Amino acid sequence: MGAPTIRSALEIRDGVRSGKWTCVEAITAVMEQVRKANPKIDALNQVFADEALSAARELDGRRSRGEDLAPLAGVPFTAKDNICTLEGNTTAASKILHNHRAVYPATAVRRLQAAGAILVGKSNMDEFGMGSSTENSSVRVTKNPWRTTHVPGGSSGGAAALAAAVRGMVHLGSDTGGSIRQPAAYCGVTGLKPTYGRVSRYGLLAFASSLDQIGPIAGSARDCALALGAIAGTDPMDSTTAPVPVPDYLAELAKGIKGLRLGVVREYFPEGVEAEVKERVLEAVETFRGLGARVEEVSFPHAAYANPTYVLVSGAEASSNLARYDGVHYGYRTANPRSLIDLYARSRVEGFGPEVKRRIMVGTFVLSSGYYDAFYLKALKVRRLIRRDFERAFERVDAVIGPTSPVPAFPIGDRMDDPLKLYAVDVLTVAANLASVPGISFPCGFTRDKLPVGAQVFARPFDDAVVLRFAHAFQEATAHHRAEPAVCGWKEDGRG
Amino acid sequence: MGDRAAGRASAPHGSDAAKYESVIGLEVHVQLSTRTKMFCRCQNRFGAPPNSQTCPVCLGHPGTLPVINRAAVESAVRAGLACGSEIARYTKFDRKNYYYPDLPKNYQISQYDLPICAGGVVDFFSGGRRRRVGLVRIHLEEDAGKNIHAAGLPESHVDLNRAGVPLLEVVSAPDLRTPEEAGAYLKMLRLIMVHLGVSDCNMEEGSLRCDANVSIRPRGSDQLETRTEIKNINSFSFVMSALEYEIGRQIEVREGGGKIVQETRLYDSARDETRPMRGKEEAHDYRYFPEPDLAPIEIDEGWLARLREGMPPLPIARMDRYMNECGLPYYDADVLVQDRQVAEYFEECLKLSPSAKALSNWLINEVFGLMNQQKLGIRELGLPPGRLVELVQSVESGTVSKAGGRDLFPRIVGSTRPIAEIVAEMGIAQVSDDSFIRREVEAVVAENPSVVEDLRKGKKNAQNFLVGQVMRRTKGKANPAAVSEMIGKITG
Amino acid sequence: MAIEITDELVAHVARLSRLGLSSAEAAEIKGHFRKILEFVKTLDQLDLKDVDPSFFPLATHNVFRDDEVAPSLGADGALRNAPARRGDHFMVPRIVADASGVGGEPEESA
Repeated sequence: MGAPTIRSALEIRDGVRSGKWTCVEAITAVMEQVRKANPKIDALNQVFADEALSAARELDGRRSRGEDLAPLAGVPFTAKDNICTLEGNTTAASKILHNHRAVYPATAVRRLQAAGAILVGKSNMDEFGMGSSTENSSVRVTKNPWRTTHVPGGSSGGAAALAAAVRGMVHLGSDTGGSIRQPAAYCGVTGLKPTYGRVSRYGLLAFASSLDQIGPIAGSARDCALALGAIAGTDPMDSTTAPVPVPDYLAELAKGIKGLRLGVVREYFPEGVEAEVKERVLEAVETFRGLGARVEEVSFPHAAYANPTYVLVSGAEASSNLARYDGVHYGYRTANPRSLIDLYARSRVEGFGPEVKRRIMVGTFVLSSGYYDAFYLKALKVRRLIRRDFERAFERVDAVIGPTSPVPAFPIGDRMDDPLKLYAVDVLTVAANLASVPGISFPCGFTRDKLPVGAQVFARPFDDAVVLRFAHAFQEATAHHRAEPAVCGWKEDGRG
Repeated sequence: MGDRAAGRASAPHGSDAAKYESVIGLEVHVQLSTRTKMFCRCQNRFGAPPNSQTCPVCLGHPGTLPVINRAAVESAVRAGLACGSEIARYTKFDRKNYYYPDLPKNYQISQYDLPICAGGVVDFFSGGRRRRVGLVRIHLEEDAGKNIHAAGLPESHVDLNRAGVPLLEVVSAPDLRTPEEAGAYLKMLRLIMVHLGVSDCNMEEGSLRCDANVSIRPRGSDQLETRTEIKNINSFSFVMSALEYEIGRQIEVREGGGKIVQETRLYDSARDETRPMRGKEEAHDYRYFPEPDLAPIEIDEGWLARLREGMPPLPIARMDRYMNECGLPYYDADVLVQDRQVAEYFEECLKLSPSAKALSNWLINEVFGLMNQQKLGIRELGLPPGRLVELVQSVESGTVSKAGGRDLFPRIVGSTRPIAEIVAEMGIAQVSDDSFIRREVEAVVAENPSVVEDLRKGKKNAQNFLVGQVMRRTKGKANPAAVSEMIGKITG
Repeated sequence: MAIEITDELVAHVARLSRLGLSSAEAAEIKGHFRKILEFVKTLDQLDLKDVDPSFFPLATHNVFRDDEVAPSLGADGALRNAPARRGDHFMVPRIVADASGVGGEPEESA
């Protein structure tokens, strides 16, 4: 039979289950697409072609022996390079871990593999998750498949770019201040940051412990739901996972959004949001209204304080989490250290990129004696106020909506001269991490020059199903998520 | 007290020393004897081959997270209950950030502003007096690994087996006034922890470590003056030596018109002196903040009640009882209480016999020797309390002499045969029969008229000589007390 | 609170962070600190007097595990990624205090 035309991970899952395809056929087809697309966008740092085929054969073998098929058998996935895999290296796109081999797999990876999903590679990212464009990778610059002169967003830029360029895969990314949602928006795909505590962080190289979450990026909300169902749930290795039951996310999608109350956040459409972004998102609001959601305006009075709060909280936690990269027990060590102090100072200054060093410095400063109250403690108090904004809104509505980023994908290099210019694109995503609520970004249209625009929906903690329902309902009613980028040579109607 | 190396300045003279009062506080680290480490499931065991007892978590590998060992928390609460501390209803862990090769994450998970236990006291004996020291706090933290400085090489080697082992840090108030008191306090604190089963407190193995804070002030003052911190104290006797040296040094400085510098000093046991370790300018900035990877701990009444149940009496409470109720001297009480199993055994004996001193003597003089020789605990010897009591009663009643009893002892251990049977078999039954004793005494008196004369004159050893003669004639069978009495009767 | 970002402050923070910054890096970060201070100044507009800091995002407490042993990695697993090893130990340059007393922690002998 000819190479299958695959449109989604769910299609692979169902196709393998029904016997339409073997796992080997599915993986081979997807890997072929990856081989064609990846060189144009540089999304992956490592490709595990042999291991993937092996795993596929193993699954096919089990099925032919009459064993039950695992729930996601044959579904290909990638892991962001800050997520531990036994396969290959886990580098966080940093020189300081450039050939680090993890000695254990992340729980999320282990669960996906136990469910029969097949790891095909590690995706590129901003070093240690610090960045919004994947330009801070020490390995390579990933390009946006919609316009290869532009960034894919960050820090999960590789995952989002590949999700756009090749159908049928799910991708594990991580989100600390928008690192799943913003690249999803820039690449025209769907990305979910689950509620804090929904997915185990064990095996995710920590950036900011109270903000980080692993989440799926894929071509549709349905594919995200498929992946989330496999990875969500408490983990005895992670004390910050919550003992909340995991619903059947796929089944939940069918509930739709009729009658749900949707709040349009007044403060999420300030001056800095580009006109076309605003328009696409407001059109999406109308689509939701047409689908039966009850739309009203809500206010987040502390919205403007989210980004400064995020900078302080994430910096402080990162400065401590990255202290372990010191050239002593693993990772990069400087040549010929003259003393212990020299070993530390030179390994770290040589191993870390400039943005990472900036954030470590800010974080250390913010925690240091004499400044803790004025910065870290203050930021945690403002965090409380931001959380209250969400709590109050959710007394009136079930979900809130706004743009994912104030601008669409921007040209590579445009924002590298001033870190604060880069921080500015996070202004709408960071609040969800500070408030620990689930957030999804889905494509809601394009700018006139064909750059994707993402809309973002948040819901109450552990209402991940609700945000998935909104994105899915939108995707049942529209076709933006099916558009495929020119880089792949596919036509816009989605036929190969 | 330890030899003082020649060349070191001599200790201040008595009059200088008398001008000053020492103010000492101890910070003691107790390694808990849980099965696993504080935040991971590696085995918590001393002496494993280097780096064999490690996992990604305690190695601080990228992506790992700590998970709290409940047993360690319970040990901390029990320690606090034993010391009368206030147990926090809400407590949490904090990160203490500093860089060191034995600290793989380059932060230690510890407790900063909300320790699990606050306040408390430790009562102990020192120099024959009862003393009380206040505790400031007890908190939980993880231990670091070990840095070993390779002899002759420009290298240090790191073993992370110990990284992540649970530690209790017990901080005393500066209530101690002499090195001897400090040693005695430390010994009592150790004993409490051992009785609770919370730690084996073995200083040689490092499961009990101690830093001291020392300052001096003019006698009569109640101000706290500049103090130094002494580290690297590795044994009970070094605690006292280090403090003696440091107090002497501080007195010399003050007497010489100088000021005490606030600093950390290391105790060098080879030279018996302390040396400065860090300069003033490098005070660590630990940048404490609450550990975001761990949920806080809430301790409710129910949990406290369950932990209170099954707490043993404090060693000092046992000692008080042995001394005040049973009339034992301090020495005996102190010895008996060093091993909790022994103390409980002794108390079971007391239920069966009031002869506390006799029981104590037997335990200390005979039973302990057997335990050491066979390397067994008191419950493993095969000498149930009732049996020891029977032995004591046999001697008390005169059935056997003291010497006979000592010969009998090894035979009754590990055997359930009735003691009377063994006594008969050994032929050591002591004779107290009046007519037998009279006959023998009369014979000896008749044979030794000059000694009897000496006895009547009051010469001291005459009595003992005559008793000895009877014992010889009877091959030790006669009851010496009865013999003595009879001699008195016959000689008038 | 008016904080002056001086070279000394940047050098102090670099030392705390164990980053041997070049003078160019230090200068750039000095400028960055100033920008960040400016950026976060808006937080001072808020009245935070009666606000509790949000330390733990989840409302959970007492998350424990049992005191049961699980297999360790073993020395080879532990040292697999070590940049330098000596037998079954991690190896670092000899730890001695430098001129300012940094690094001079208590010495333990083998």
